[in-house]
Amino acid sequence: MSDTASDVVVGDVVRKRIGAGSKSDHDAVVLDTGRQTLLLRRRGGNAFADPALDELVGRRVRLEGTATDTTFLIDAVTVLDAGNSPP
Amino acid sequence: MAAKKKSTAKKAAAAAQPDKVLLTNRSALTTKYGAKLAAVDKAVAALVAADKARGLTTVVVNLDDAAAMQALGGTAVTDATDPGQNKAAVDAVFHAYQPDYLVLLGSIDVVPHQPMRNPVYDGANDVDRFAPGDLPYACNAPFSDHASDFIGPDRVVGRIPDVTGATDPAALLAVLAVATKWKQRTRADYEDHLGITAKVWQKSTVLSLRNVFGAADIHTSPAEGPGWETAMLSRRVHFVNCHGADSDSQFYGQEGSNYPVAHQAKLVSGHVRAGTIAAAECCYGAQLWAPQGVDGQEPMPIAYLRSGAFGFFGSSTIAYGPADSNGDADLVCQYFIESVLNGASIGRAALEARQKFVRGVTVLSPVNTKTLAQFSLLGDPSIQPVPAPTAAAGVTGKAVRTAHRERLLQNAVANLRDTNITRREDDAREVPEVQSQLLSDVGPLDGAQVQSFAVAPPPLASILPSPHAELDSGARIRVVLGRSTVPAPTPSIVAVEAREEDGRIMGRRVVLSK
Repeated sequence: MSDTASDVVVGDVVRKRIGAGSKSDHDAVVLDTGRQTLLLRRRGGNAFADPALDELVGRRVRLEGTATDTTFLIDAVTVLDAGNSPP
Repeated sequence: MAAKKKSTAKKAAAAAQPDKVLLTNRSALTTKYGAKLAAVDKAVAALVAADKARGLTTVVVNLDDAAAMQALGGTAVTDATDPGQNKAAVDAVFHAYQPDYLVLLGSIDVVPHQPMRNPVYDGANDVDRFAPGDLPYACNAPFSDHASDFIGPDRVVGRIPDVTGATDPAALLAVLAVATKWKQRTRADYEDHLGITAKVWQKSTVLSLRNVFGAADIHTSPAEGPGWETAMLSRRVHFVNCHGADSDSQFYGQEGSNYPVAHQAKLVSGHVRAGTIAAAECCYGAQLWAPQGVDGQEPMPIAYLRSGAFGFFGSSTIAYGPADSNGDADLVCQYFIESVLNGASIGRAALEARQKFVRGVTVLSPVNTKTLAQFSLLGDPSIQPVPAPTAAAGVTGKAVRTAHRERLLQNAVANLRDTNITRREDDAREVPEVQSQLLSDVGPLDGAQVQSFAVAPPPLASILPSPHAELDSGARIRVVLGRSTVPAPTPSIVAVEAREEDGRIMGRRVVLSK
């Protein structure tokens, strides 16, 4: 985990049930990068329900923040609309 | 000559026979704290002196000290992050000293958790590749990344954590001060409890607390919390059955799709009463993540311990348990609290919880195995919050501790002899009828993935015949994790564990979604 430079990931935001049957079981907002799936959470935000993340579902985004083993803690979001490409 | 020196040194070490050993990595601590390590040294010395006054002989072993480790018949740790080196070193120290208490001093960047592969990892539902924890340090079995190799713990182990990635030892000094100055109280001082539960798991939590206290004083989220009244936080037993998340200092309640914050480390800090013991069923409840780079808030167990709590028993990863009954996380947590209230040190309580959990089944299922692996004790394991009911006040004497150890060793051998384990079968033949039976009355599950596990004999089966060998021979455990498609105000059943014999489901355990 980086404590200086931010991590950056690009992918599609989808809703997905994770932790089925466990104490983490819920419909989560996740990022599908094509190579991995990361749970999304705004830094300091609610890990289970965040309306701000709900609005990103279905969008392709570039995220800056911190990646843990399972989760991406978001500091900044750039929505990559159709026709745009990441820098 | 060298062998003779080694043997002599080992004998000398054995003759010392300390009651308690603090294990740490000085190089790792120095990297973190530099010149501030002097304050830690002073605090450790104070702890050793306080233990002596209590009748405990405590020694400190730096696992990276080549001379010290050689004297004990072990090999120094050269890479603080290497779990194999650390496991071997801890085992060598234990074999040399045979202490009543093993204490890991420092967080996971000083003495790492042992990485046990999560048997129910599927990347889609259970995202934990490993269920890291301190269970293997409590076992005689050598280093392995298979959790099922560690079903026979017999050592009392606890961890006095500092903050992962910290450069200031303030938190560690606070936790060491608690371990130094702790005072035993009466059983009556622990009668009041704070039970915090997600509303969807209310029934399960009530059962747990009634089992321990005879009554349940629970507080549900929603709508209560996270700002708990001082009077509630002051109760000396905290039992938390809420959601948790990776690298998150908050626990969450739930009702339907509403997940309010139920408990926050920043609101706990400084408000927990001295002597509190806490058990948290929450996913990631005892995870020791580095605050720096996350949200700056310290993990919940650090907030508890530095505020005066004696111990925190929780999980490093996603945990399991039913909503309306008791299983897995519910059981290990209530067993821990029970043992403490019966006069066990918190370290013995953690060991007894593990042993009782294993003893409760003839086949340790994949979910059971993850549960055993993921729960660890944070806090000085020698702290004994209350005396045993029939004993005088004070720390349990050596003779009684020795008797406990013999009993605990026998329990461990019995578990290793009697408990079948499971091994994942990646090439198991799928049987549609079996899957159909698995999901009968559960309904279809989206994203359902079936995992198969062969039931394997207990670890000591080749030496000590198991009374259950024939009963469980040839059986298979099927685990289905998936998403219910049935609309419901709260998540319904999405995890099923079933025992299959000759293509037929013989028994099924439904872990209701948490």
